[in-house]
Amino acid sequence: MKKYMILGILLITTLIFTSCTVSPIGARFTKNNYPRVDGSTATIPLSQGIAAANLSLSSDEISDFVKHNTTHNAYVNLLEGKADIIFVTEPSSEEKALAWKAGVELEVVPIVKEAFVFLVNKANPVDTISTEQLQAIYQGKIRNWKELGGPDKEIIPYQRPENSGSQTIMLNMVMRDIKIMDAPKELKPTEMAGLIEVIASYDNSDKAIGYSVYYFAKSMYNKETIKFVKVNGVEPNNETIKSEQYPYTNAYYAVLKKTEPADSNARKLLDWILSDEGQKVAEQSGYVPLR
Amino acid sequence: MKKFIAISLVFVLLLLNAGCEKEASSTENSAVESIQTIPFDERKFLYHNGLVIEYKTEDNHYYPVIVGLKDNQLQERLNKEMKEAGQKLIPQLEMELSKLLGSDLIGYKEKETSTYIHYSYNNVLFFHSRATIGAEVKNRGDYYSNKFIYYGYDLNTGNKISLSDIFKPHSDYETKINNYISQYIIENNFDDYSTEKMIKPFEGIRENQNFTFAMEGLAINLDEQNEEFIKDGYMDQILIPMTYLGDDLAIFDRFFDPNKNIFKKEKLLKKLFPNKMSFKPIEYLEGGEDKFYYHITKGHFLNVPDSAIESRLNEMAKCTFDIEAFKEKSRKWSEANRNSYYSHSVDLHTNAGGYLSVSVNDEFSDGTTHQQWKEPFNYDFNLNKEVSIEDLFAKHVDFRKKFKDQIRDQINSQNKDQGSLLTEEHLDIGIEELIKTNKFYFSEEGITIYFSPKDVKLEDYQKWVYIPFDVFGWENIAFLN
Repeated sequence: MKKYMILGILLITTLIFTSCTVSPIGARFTKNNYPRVDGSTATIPLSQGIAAANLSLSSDEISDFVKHNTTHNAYVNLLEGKADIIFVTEPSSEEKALAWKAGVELEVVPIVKEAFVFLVNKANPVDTISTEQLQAIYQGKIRNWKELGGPDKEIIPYQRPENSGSQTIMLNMVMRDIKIMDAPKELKPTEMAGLIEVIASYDNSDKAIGYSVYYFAKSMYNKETIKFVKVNGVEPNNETIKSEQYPYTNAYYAVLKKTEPADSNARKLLDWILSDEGQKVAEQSGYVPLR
Repeated sequence: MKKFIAISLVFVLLLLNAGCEKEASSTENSAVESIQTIPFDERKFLYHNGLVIEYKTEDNHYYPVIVGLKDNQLQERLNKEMKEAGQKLIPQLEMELSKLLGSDLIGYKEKETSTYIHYSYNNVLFFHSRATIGAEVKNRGDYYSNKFIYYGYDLNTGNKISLSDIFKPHSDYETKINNYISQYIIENNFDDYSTEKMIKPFEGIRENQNFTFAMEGLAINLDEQNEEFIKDGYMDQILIPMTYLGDDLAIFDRFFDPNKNIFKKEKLLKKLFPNKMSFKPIEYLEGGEDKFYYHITKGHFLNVPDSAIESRLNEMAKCTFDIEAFKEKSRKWSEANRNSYYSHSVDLHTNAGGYLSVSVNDEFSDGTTHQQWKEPFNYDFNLNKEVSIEDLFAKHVDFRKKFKDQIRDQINSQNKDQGSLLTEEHLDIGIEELIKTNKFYFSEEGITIYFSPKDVKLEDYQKWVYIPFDVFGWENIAFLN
């Protein structure tokens, strides 16, 4: 009887602990030898997950410990020797030029997958669009949803502000060398009480099509109002992005100097991130693992 | 043995349930509550709470004091809470600053708080407090930090208003709010990693979401709980317009019983409820060169309840000014005319309670002369008729006398150095002309009248005289009573 009581108490204790805390993983680093990490805003949860798995710190201490200074500043900090490893998107041409000027060769290693997704109103019956059709929509060649098997309604292809991350991906990954049409515009009030013409924002009307990145979009678009479009019949989800079956996939990267010694703590941390254990932590932190 | 396992399982389930259970709100407790609400599209007005609000300063603390509730004890309690709300933020802010600045913190230079009431209608009151601390930091300039808090109260009981209290009992308001925020994130490009505004996907509003309510709508305050969003030091808010929430709203009726007055004041003043119609700008032309500058807003009226009135308004709003000719002419002007200017705009002074008061404004200057034109239009869609000046005031009110007093005071004080003062005759002629032409526009705060009697030379800007309604006594403003 006593044995069962002990088992019962153990069961209760285990359940309480698993529901309230992150399962502790053996600490590989201390705060003193943990590499100096920087990165973009979008990789903070990844960085926190990695730090939590490698340091014996409480979740509050992890929040205080992990500080990212946004993408461009992270690149600058890496080049100036203020960071050992950064978690970011691919270097822009400006950041590549900065590295070249600083005489630094960058090592850019994918650590988690990301994808570029198209969205429409959930009431829109069009579920799938081919890569060629997407290009034709954004060239202004396909102008009506009926051409895609939908209702006889005009297509409003929304775009993103120039030089934004999503617009750069749209041009490079989807349109490639094809010229994109002019974006729909709208008037917005300015702080000076005037009005300014800006790129219109996706409004989720039944005529609209827009785009976003999967990491931010995935929690928002499973609601009843917005849905992801299948591209070439493939729905963007963790599995199709991981396998690259979904055509528009890219990644978030760890970037470090190529000269970083093989036994440095930055490389040790990178090796751990790429390990099965590291990828599992990345997935638990909300990202699509590499495999 | 079986009994013990069963007990253990029940215990485990209870524990898990206790960990996940939402705190019951007053709305959920009253799932069977039935609220008689006016359909959102049909609502014309709310009632101002019968309170007099004065603001006081004590040391560095600025706060409101309310007077007018029948329940004195409740009034005292609310005044105490409003006075202390900002001050209670100070120790929290000090703790945050001490954590943030660590050993670099030398000391605090300034500590101040301010509290404002921003919504006070239909027996509900919302206020917000801000605390600011200036910290002296080693080897750096002073560092200022703010903290905000928002509260809403039911003035019948003094109970705090929860988010669920704002909505009808079976409203799926959380989903509705979350959908709006998702759309807001897209519209503002927060779902783009290059804006660096969010660290992770939006996870929905929290169980005890910080919020406030105002005439503009429901504001979701992003605080420490909403860790997805990067904060910029001020309270970040997402404002959800009332029109989006529409018939899900119960806040206007839940706490208000037209047969029970909780205020000492016998008659409550109306607060007009926003109309659905609007003026939508469709083109904004702005430009200039060395000698000229112009800005023109073109647009059209939407959702006007009467199509004939809509056509009339759209016709009025048109800009017929020949901007190309203006540019060409301006370029040839001499240095004396170098500040040539033209503007065209449409202002909605009242667009609530079924009333519309609009002015179409044109302003022109060639550097030496300045001209201003305003074409007003006032309409009451409740009675389907144009609003006259007499309609705005109670029958017994001698508004002509008040107009004369105000015009005399304002214009004569501007012209006293030039000796061209208005006579009683000028005033009588000007007022009668005004009554005939009905050239005025109005807001909920006051009326702007056109006064231009013959034989009196006034600058264009002097011809439009603003008179606040409080000089007539609020009880004498017909459309607000």
